[in-house]
Amino acid sequence: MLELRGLTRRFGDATAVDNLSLAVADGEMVAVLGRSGAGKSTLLNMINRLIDPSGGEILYGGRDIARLRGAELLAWRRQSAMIFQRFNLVGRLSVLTNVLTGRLNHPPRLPKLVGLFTDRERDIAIDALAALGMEDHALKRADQLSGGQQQRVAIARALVQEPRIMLADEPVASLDPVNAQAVMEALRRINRELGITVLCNLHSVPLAQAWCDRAIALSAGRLVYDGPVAGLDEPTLLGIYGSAAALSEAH
Amino acid sequence: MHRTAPAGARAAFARAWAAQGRVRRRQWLVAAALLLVLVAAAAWLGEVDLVLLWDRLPRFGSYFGRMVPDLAWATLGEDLAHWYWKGWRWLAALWQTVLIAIYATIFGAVLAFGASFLAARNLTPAPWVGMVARRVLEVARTVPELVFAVLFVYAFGIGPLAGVLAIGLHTFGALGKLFGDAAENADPEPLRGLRATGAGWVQTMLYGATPQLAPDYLSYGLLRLEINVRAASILGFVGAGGIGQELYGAIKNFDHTDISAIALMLIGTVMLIDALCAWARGRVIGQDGLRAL
Ligand SMILES: Nc1ncnc2c1ncn2[C@@H]1O[C@H](COP(=O)(O)OP(=O)(O)O)[C@@H](O)[C@H]1O
Ligand SMILES: [Mg+2]
Repeated sequence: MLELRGLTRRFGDATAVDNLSLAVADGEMVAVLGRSGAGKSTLLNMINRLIDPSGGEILYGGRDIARLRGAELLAWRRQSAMIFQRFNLVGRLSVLTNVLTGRLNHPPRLPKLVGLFTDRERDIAIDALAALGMEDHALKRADQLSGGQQQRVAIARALVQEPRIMLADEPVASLDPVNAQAVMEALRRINRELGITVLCNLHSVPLAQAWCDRAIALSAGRLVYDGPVAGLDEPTLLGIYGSAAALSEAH
Repeated sequence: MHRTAPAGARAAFARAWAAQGRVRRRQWLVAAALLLVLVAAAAWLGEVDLVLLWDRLPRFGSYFGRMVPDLAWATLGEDLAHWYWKGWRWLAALWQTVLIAIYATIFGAVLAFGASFLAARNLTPAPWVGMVARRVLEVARTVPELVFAVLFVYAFGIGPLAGVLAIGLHTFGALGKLFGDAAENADPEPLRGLRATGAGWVQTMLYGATPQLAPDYLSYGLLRLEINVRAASILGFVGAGGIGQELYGAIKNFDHTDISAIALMLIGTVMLIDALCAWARGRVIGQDGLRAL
C-alpha cells in the first residue's frame, strides 16, 4: 500500500501540493484529475522523488520514501516507474537501448556503463516491446517514431524496470485519440495482468471514467475529491474545475 | 473567448517597457565607454608606436627576401634538392608534430569529456563540484601551452612527451569549457526520463546526455585538432619536440632558406589538416545518422 500523510511541496511562496493525505492499495488504477497548475505533476514527481517534498510522509512497505537517500533512493525510483507526457526517451539512441536503460539499476551494473547488457536482459527488453506491439522497431532510432510509438517504447522501458507502481503524468496528452486509446489500454492491461499499481494524471474526465476505477482530484494542491469514477457527476466536476469553461476543456 | 484586459494593463506594461529600455541604454553607454578606455590604456601600456612600425616595415621585407632560395629553371631539380637538403628529416619532424597534436587532442578531450558534466550547471552533481570544475578548467586554459611546455620540458626533459602534456592540458581547459557550455543546452527531458528509472548520475550522463552531445563534442574536438597542429609546430622552440625544434635551429643559425623550406612544409600540412577536419566536421554536423552508443 502507498500512503501519503500530510504531503506538501512549496515553490517559494506558492504551495503546489498542500497537506495531502490518502492511501492507494496495491493493484489499484487511480486517475488524478484537476485543472492545469493544480499540482498533479508535482505529486507524481514527489512519489518518484524526482522532486523532494517540503513536508509530510510517503509510506510504502513500512518505509518513508520521502527520507530515502543514495542507493536506496535509486532503488525506489526503479520500483516506481514514470511515464511522461513528452515520452522523455533519448532520441538518438535505438529503441532497444532506450528500453534497456530501464535496466541500468539492475545488477550487473558496471558492464552497462560501456553499453554491455546481458542476452537475458535483451530478451526481457524485446518481450516488453512485443507486449506493446513494438518489437519490429527495436533497432530504429527513437526519434524516428511517431508520438504514440514513442510512448509505447517509454512504457516498455518502465516495464523492464519491474516496478511495483507506475506513475503516468498526462501520458496521452500529446497523442491523437487512436494512440491515446492504445496507450491507456496498455496501462490498463499492465495494471490487470501484472497487478502493478497505476497512478495516472489525466486532463480528460472521459478518459478517467473509461479506464480507471478510482479518481482523486486536486485543486490548488488540495485534495477535493476521492472516490469511484462513477461518482464524478456534474456538480462534483464543477467543484473540481471551478467553472463551466474549465470543465468543458476537460471533456 | 475574448476577455477584456483589466484597465491600465497596457499603461503599466508601457511603463515597465520604457524603464527596461532606459536601463539597457545606460548599460550600453557604460560598456562602450569602458571599452574605449581599455583600448587606450592597452595602447599606452603596450607602447604601441605607429610611426616606428611604419619606419621599420622595410626591414621586415628584406628578411623575407633572404629566405627566397636560388631557383633556376635549368637546374630546378638540383636547386630544389639543395633547398630541401634535410627534407626527410623535416618530414619526420613534421610527422612527429602531427602525432603530438593528435595525442594531445585525445588526451585533453577525454579529460574534458568527463569534466564537462561536472562543470555544466544543469548536470553537475552538486553546485560546489561545478564551481571547482569550472575553476580548474579556467586555470588549465588560461595558462598558455608554451608556459606548460617550458615546465614539462624542465620536468620530463626535451622531447615530444612534454609537448603532448602541455597541449593536452591546455586542450583540457579549452575543450572542457566548450563541452560544458554545449552540455548546458542539453534537453533535460530525456535526463529526467533516465533519472526516473533509478539510473545513477554517471549512468544518466552516459545514456542521457552523451548521445545528445556527441555531435557537438566531436565537432569541437576536430576544431581543436586543427588548432593543436599549429600549437604543436611552435612548441619545439622550447624543446618540446616536432618541427618547431628544426625551425628554431634554422632561425638561430640564420639558415634563411631552411626557414622558408620548413615554413612552406608547415603551412601545407596545416592547410591539409584544416581541410580534413573541416570536411569531417561537416559530415558530423550534416548527417544526423551518428549513433553514440
Ligand atoms: N519547478 C517549479 N518552480 C516553481 N513553481 C513550480 C515548479 N513546478 C511547479 N510549480 C508550480 O506548482 C504548481 C503546480 O504545478 P504542477 O504540479 O505542474 O501542476 P499540474 O501538473 O497539475 O498542471 C503550479 O502553480 C506551478 O506553477
Ligand atoms: Mg502537469
